Formats: sequence, structure tokens, C-alpha cells
Amino acid sequence: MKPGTYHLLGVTIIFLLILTGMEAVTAAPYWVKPGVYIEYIAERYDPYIQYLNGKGYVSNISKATSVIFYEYNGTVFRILTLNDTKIRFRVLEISNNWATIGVRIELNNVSILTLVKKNTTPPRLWDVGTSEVIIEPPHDQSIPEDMVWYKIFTKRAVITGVYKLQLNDSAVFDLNGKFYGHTGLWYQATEEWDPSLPFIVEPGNVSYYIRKTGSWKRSFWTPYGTFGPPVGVLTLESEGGTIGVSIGGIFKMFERTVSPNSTSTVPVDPNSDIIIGHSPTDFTFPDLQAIGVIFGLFNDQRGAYLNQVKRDYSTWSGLLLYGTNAEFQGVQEVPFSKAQTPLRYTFWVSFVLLGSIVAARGWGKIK
Amino acid sequence: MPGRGTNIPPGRRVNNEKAGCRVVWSAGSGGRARGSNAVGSHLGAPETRWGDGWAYAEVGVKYDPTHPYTRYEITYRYGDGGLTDKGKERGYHAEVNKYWDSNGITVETVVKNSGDFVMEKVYASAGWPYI
Repeated sequence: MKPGTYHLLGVTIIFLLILTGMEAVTAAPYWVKPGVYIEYIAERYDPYIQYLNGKGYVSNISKATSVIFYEYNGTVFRILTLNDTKIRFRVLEISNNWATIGVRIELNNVSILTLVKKNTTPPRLWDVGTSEVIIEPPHDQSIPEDMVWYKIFTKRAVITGVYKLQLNDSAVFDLNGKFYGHTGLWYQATEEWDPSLPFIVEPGNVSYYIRKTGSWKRSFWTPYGTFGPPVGVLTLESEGGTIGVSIGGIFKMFERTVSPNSTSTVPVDPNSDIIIGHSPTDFTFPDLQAIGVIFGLFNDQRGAYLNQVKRDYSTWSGLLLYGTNAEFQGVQEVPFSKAQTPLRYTFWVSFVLLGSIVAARGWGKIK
Repeated sequence: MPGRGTNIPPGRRVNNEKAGCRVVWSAGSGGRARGSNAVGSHLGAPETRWGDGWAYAEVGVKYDPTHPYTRYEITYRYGDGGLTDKGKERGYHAEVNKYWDSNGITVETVVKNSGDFVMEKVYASAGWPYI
């Protein structure tokens, strides 16, 4: 072969190697880049509060946009938010096969409850200037006498954290390397997520696994915009169990029994693969668990009002996509359940091309 | 101190169509009194609009009758919920969330359709008044 041929062959091989490498890394959507953020929201909506008042409900839990159980520095908090709950995920860095994601949870008009040792202060995650603190002795035999209830009422609380996302399979890990499940930011129909791996693991070891993908032949409204039709739908299924949250094994704060074969749905934009809504109550995505949110329940009250009062199912009451600076391509008609990746075709076309070049050169030499 | 639900067996649905809640009172001396009357803002018996789900909450309290709001002990918190017959007929499913707090318990029954849309939420709370 002539030197030029070696050069051409070398360039082609490098091109192939890059493509093979990209195949591993680009399991994440193309729009996942440093600086990209995705925001979800559960908004307060006054007509829903009026509807609850009309039913005679007085519990703050009924009127919350979120109830979050959060562990920070060994202290477990129950955080109840009466105005908007907003969560932002930002891609801070991408290095090899890993993305570092920053999370910021903004909670407005908040009631915080925890149990701490007497004469100690729980770690502060609330605005100091605007908060009211009530300290009460416990009235339960199960709680040691040297503990006290700490109740904080504040206009605003912010939770921040950082976790790692493995790009080739979208697996979520905390900074200590603990595995939590699949990201709740996107899902690609072409992914090869091991179905025996839990998609989500809730406290109490209740796991959800991928059951199937499909689509809704209708649109889905979010504050960011309306998606579909069709809307991609990922169905998860649980083996059942009991989800439980307690403070240091002393006091149970939350419990739910999950029946075997319970299913849950995740709506996805089939064009960009971004997850456009999180289940209202079923589970907490690993992206929140990895920063200390043990469990969270969300209630977008506009969605709740439309679903429960107006019987309008154009949206729902879970977390909804609120904003993103990701640049989506204007792709049309992408079948959600069909496994295909243009990159894979590019790989094979290049492979055939390389074979043709080598064969042509070889044939030329024989002649 | 009374056993749970002297007149309401544990786990039994008290009212099929409505949410309900109850505080079981108990005098510190061991004498008993019960009531389903509302205490503070914790109690109520909300109607369910479509009647697809139910919720129930109850706490047991042992207290000093001379200082009921400062010298008391919550002996148990109990709650349950689920679908009514109407909810079952419609093919819905229910999640029953139980929230314990310093003074009582709230039960939230979330009724959903097969598409994971919330059709109805039913609440019941029971608790001892706090100062």
C-alpha cells in the first residue's frame, strides 16, 4: 500500500474508534451538556385550596405542594411546603462517562419537623431571618426523654446537593459511590438498562423495575410546554413491600404499603427523551435520593384541580417540567418503542466503507 | 388506658363512604372515656365527593384530667384507608399514606386510575391539641 493509503486507513480507524467510544458515552441524550439545567415544579393553585376547604379538609398535608423527608448530617426532617416546590437539576461537569449534577430544591412557605437531642440545634436549611421555631417535649413513651421536637415555620427553605450520573446507562450514584437506580431526568427507548436492576429503590426496600414502554395518543401539558401526541410512557412495576421513613429508628414518620405488581407511569417526550413529569405520589426518583431526599410526595395543585375537579387529564398532579435551557432538535415522528440509533447505522456504514476501501486497494494490488 | 378501638376494631372500616377520625380519650387513673367529637382543628369528617376512597385516623391518649394539655401521653396512633366499593367497581387503585407527627396522625388515601392520574384524595386526621 502507498503511504496515502495508510493515512486514509488510519484516519478511518480513528474515526471508527471515536464512533465506538461515542456509542458508549452517548447513551445519554444529545442535549446533555455542561450548563444545561432542567426544572420541575409543583405549583400552588388557589382554586384547589378552595376546593379542599369546601370538602372540610383542614390538614396541612392536604394543602401541601410537597412533603419531603430529608436526611442531612444524620438528622431526618419532614418538610411540608404550602406554596411552590421547585427543583432544578444542572449539569455541572461531564468527564469521560460521568456527569456531575447539582440539585437545588426551593421550598416556599414551609413547616419543618424533626426530633433532636435537648439543647442541640438541628442543621439549618431554613432562612434564619424569617423563621419561627417551637421546641416541644415529646409525649410518646417510645421517644427518649432527652429528645425534643423541633418545629420550624419559615417562608423559604433551600436544599442543595450534588450527585453523579453514569452516562452510558443513566445510573445514579451519590458522591460515595452508592447506587440508587435510573435517572428521572430522561429515558431513551434505545437504552439497554438491565431489567433485573431496580429502576428505583424506595426506603424500606421497595423497588420498581421497568415493565414496558408505550405511548399515550394524546398531549400532555406542562408549564414548559405541551408535548405530544404521542407522549412516551414508561411503565414501572413493583414487587410490593412497605415504604417507611423513621427518625433514627425512634419515631416512625411515614408509611405506605405497596401491593405486589403495583405499576406506575413516567411520561417522556419521545423526541428529546426528557422526562416531562414525575409521579404525584408513587416514588421518589434516585436523583433526589442521592442528595438525601429519603422520600418525597408532590402535588401540583393546578393538575390536581383539573384531574379531580374538572376531570381533565391533559396534565397531572405530579412534578411537571417547568423549564430547561437544553436545545432540542425539532425532530418529528420518532417512534418511542422502536429501538434505533442513527449512530449505530453510521457505525455500520463506516465499517462497510472501510471494508470497501481495503478490498478496493487489495484488488488493485492483485491486478 | 383503653385498647385500640374499644368500639372500633382495628382495621375495620368505620364508614364506607366518608373519611372519619376519632380521638380515644383515657383518664390517667385508668378510667375510660371516649368520644368522636372534634378536637381543635385536627378533627372533622369530610365528605368524599365521588366516594371512591375512604380514610380513618385515631389516636389513644392517656392524660391527667387536671392538666390535660400539658400532662399527657399519646399511647398509639392508628390509621387506615382504601377504596370504597364504588372505587373498586370503577377499577381504581388506592395508595394509603400514613403521616405520624408529634401530636397525632394523618391518613391520606390517594385514588388513582390505571393511567396514574389522581381521581380523588381523602384525608382523615386525629391528634391531641397542642399549645
